[in-house]
Amino acid sequence: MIILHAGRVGKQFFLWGESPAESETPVVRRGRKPKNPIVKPYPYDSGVENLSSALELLLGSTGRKEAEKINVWVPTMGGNPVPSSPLVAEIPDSKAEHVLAPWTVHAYPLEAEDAIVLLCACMGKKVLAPGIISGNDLLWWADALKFAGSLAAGQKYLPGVRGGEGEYRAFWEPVFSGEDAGELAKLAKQMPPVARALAPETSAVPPEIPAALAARQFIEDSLDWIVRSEIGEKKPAKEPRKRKSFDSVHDAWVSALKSPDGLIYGDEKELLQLAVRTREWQRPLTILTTSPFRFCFRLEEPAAEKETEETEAGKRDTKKGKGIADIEVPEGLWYVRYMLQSYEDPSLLIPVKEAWKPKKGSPLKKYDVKNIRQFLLSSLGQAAGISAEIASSLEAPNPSGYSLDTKEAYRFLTESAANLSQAGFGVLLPGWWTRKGTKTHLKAQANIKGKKKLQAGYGLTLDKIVSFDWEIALGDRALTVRELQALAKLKAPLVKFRGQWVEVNDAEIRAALEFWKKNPNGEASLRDVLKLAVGASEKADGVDVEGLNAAGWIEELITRLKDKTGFEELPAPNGFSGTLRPYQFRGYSWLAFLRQWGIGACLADDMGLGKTVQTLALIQHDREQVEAKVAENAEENAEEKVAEKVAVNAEEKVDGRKVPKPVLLVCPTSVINNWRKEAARFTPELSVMVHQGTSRKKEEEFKKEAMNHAIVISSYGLLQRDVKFLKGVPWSGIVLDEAQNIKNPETKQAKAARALEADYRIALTGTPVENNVGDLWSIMEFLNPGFLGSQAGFKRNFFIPIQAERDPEAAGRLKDITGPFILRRLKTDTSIISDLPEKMEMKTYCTLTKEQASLYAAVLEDIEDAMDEAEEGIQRKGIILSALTRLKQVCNHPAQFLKDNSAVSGRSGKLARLTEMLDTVLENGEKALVFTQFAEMGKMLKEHLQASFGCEVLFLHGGVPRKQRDRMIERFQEGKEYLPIFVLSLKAGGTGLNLTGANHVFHFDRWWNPAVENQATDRAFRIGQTKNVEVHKFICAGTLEEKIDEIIERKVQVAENVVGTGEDWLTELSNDELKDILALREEAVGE
Amino acid sequence: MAAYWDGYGYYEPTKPIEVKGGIKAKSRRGSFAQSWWAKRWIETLESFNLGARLDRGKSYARKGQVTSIKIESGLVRAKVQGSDPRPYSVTIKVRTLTGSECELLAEKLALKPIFAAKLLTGEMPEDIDSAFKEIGLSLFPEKIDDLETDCSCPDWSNPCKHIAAVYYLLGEEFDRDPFLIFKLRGVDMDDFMSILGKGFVPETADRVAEAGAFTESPDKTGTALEAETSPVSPEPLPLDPEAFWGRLPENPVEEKVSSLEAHIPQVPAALPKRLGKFPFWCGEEDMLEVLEEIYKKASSAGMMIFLGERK
Repeated sequence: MIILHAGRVGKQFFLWGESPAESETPVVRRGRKPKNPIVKPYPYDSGVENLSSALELLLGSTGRKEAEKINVWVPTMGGNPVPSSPLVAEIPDSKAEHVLAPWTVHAYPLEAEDAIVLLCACMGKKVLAPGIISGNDLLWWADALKFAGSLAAGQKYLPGVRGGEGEYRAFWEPVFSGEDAGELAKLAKQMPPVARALAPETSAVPPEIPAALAARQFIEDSLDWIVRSEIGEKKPAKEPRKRKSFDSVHDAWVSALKSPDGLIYGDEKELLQLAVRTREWQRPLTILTTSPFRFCFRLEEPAAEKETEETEAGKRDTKKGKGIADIEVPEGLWYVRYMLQSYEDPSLLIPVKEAWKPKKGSPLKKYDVKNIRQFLLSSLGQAAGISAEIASSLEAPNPSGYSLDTKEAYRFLTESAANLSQAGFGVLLPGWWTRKGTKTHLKAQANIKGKKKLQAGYGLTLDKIVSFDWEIALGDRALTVRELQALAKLKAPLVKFRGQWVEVNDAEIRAALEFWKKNPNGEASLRDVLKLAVGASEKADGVDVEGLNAAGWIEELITRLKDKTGFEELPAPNGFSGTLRPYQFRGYSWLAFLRQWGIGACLADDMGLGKTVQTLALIQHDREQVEAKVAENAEENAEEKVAEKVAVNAEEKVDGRKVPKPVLLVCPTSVINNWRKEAARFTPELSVMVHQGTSRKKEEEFKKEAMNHAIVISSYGLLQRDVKFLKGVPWSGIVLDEAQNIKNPETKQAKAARALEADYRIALTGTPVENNVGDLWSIMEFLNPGFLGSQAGFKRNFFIPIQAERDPEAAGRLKDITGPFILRRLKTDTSIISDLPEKMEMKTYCTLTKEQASLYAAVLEDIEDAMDEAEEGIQRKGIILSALTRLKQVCNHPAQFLKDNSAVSGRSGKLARLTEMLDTVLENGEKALVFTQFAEMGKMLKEHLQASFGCEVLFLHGGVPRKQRDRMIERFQEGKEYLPIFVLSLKAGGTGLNLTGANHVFHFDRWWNPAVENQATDRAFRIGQTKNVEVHKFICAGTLEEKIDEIIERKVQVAENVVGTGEDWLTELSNDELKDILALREEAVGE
Repeated sequence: MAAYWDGYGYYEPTKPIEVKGGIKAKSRRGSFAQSWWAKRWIETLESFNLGARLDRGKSYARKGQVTSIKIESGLVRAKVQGSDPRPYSVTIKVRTLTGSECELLAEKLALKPIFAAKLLTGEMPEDIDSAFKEIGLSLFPEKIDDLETDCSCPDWSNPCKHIAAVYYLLGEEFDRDPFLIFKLRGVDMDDFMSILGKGFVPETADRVAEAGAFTESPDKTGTALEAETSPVSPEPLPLDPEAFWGRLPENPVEEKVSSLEAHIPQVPAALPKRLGKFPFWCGEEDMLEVLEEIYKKASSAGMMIFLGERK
């Protein structure tokens, strides 16, 4: 495991790493003294090899400079440096004095390009790869780079000249104005000091460069690099560049702005003059960028007055058939007020009127009045160039604003505001004005007529053609042609409609009238109508096509989709065994509702709420519907009725019989057995086929086999590998479990998923999918192709506005569009909480890896031989008990069994599943306890989970002294750090341990003693626990773990012996009975 | 001025020696200067009826024969390359405003903030000359006698084509920075602004300036765009390990969202455009055109990095 750190020495960027020390105690070195006897090697230095492999993983193996040795100055106590985190080594808990001491580490100097690629990969990511963790300083450098990127994107820089004493360079320099200056200051404050603690190997004093300067230099250098990298010559010159002679020093400068090193060649005197002239040129910005205030323009609407006269006139007009009811053109004047807004506290607004001569008590009092005036005049002068009205306002002394009529106000809103804003001024507009104009404006609406009743049953799909006619509306009021024309005659760009400001522009009206002429009525598919309804539509012929006026069943349908209520709540399917909780009924009914319309659905319920169960209910229900229709059809055909052809293609002919089509279920390998088990439990009538392993069926064979089953389960890996023949099967539905596996649309598995055909599609995930804009497109594209538009369009319309520009409107629109297709409920939802037991116990069936399987088989053979030979009595009992232990160890992890300290990842199905589930727990900000009866397993878990999640994992076992134990519990329960995982050995601690901070409990292996298990669980489930507790018990399917669990559950009598607690009763069984229990079944292996 | 006249009459000089890296006029044909005040300046010259010399002056300016121009209070000094290997020296003298005239002027201007505002953005307000007229002055030279021009070339006429070339280029410079006219008339911008400021403020005003705000820092070489009035003081590393390593209480769900934003502007290179033409630009290509291209490309690179997409 390696924690990556980074820093700069001068302009050179270095990457170094920390890893747990090889030996437990700090090494006392003997022998030849190193060159610099004072500086010792950092005991936790990862070293060249580890660093190199980390770099290879992250950057590829392109040529790199060799690693060097540099100094890091670290707080040291008692001769030992304090490492960055408990993941590296125990942090001494002493309050003794620390001193700064230098330690040497191996570090890789990175070229700018490599550094930038690395930092991009790190942005916001604590864990870069299993076992490779970003240090806080590395994350900070990534943030600083991000800031430089935003400056480059926003074009907030100028070409400049830097240098002196004979050497001048062209430089792209950032301009830190107002908000950016604040951002820079914030960044500097957040800089972890270790990032500026690097020094050359020969340094004797610790570096003391101020954070503000270090941050700024890095951002300047990065910005310069970013600009240069886009425009410069790509290949560095092979020979030292011949000094090009330039006609003028300005040409030399322009060339230097694009060249890799930026050196400007020329006469020294001329270069000096160039530097001076450059500064002169940049000067006007200095005034504006150093001010703590921003000049703002605020548009104020006319005071509400003179109502009566208006409406009278309006009424008269309406009577004459001229005017439009509800629409008035207010007469009052608007005002644009000049304001100063403080950058530090944007709520502080000072009218410029007061700024000309600040009175006592004004926050402006502390500034030099001359400077304020210069700032005001300079700003106004610039603004005057943009807006003639502002220029006119400057004719009188002490300008503070100007009045405007409605027409001019409209022009301000639509033109001046954007121009002023782009010039760097603040523009404060009324709340009812959005980027797209007034919230209410002219739009085309589709008037759909539909029959009253919503036709249930199949055959009604989104392809159904619906006819409608268009109308032009303002808000929710439809306008007639006459009214539109009257509106045009008003020639007022802004009117008040029912008290709300509405924009009415000529172009829009004309477009609307044109549109009406061209499209008096239309036809579209239900799918398109739906797109319209949720807001995923586009403009048609220049008019905003927005919204629907649907009546009858279409309106019902749309409401049900948007609100996710009102659809029929179904009873459990006939063949379903087990009980559904109320919210699960709703979930499954929702799935059925969407399935009916062929709309793809994403069930994103919180973990533990039973997505599996709800999905199985849906599959069962669907199949029963199909079978019913088949029966119906058979009857009808017998009567030769030419009724509506229903259940189109819901079944296929296989071997001359009509068979319902199967469902394909794709999930991670570690969950295959869980699905199998759940299906067997809840929908035993559905035949399940698992497609996995080298002996799996392929091509035609596969198709035949698949058609004979109700559900085919496979993994993502095989989805991608076998897509060719998977495509050939007519699936009724496709379910993707843990759908975040296709979040990247470019991956083979995502493409494979989209390539399959099915009548319905479902995606399941426990992660908050609507929060990850980047992942959304891929999943939606699978569920409902084309709904969110093209990938490029999505990036342009949603991804960049939401992720980069933080546009709340785009975020809101996306939410509206995807809302109908995503159902997500949290354990904490008030509508659910009463349905949930306070303690939910679930079994998680895991798989074995091939290695585990062969170890298990080997151990079995051993045991069986031993059992056959052994005599009755203590010897036999001992053999059996040790056999149980060994098999349990194999099921846990091969390394625990082999005791060989070997690598941990990828060798245990249980560990894989645990890591996956903990990932979701952490993403939701929750905490978990993990119990195991083996201390060695606990240690392995701690280290593996630390490397996987990059955070400290607490481990409590019998050998932990009481004081330390108390400290751990305190940190877990109340500490301000986020410690999400606590591993405990079952025997550790007694009663009285309070760990209610956790609401997830995992039993990694079983004690088969419910009392003991419950006692462990109850560390979390007790008074003080505010959340519902989920208990997950891991069982390797097809192994003794499953068998024993079954026996205990059913309390079956085995022979004459009563099943007791613990394991002793097992020793009472006969050899044959034992062999049966211990046997390894085929389904155990997941690969 | 040395009159060159020999018995054979006035000679039209032969072609001038080519210059590399001279000050090139922005205008390629037609009239020089675009703003009304620069045009006024040029009008004065053209009212002298110089005929062919004016055209020669124009072509000299366009070819870049003028190698240097220095504008000082009351005086313009320039070097122009003619047919003689040694460049000719040109001087243009202008009468400067006296201190009291300056104050009077400032008072007049203070009454209409539009004047100062426009000057600060590099624009000459249209009726500014009226303010001058009110105190009995004129901003621009009205007659030939208002200027004293001199050139070391052999041509006896005044102004000669070298002076004309300088005059035209000055017009372009005034286009970019109208303050230069003021500077030429002896009005220093900083002083002027402070006088303008004075116009508003009652004598007893408090003048405490807050360090770092609304002030400029003098900078010798290089270009500092932000005032840092405090010297760079060293910041030692902290001794507390938690502070040192920067360990923050991490709640991953909250801390994930940073508040940084990135927007690609619709109008490229707004900052350089705001600043206008570079003083005495001699480069081959038009600076703003070059910059526009660069800024557009760099924007998408910056956005990519912001989104962490650089591979």
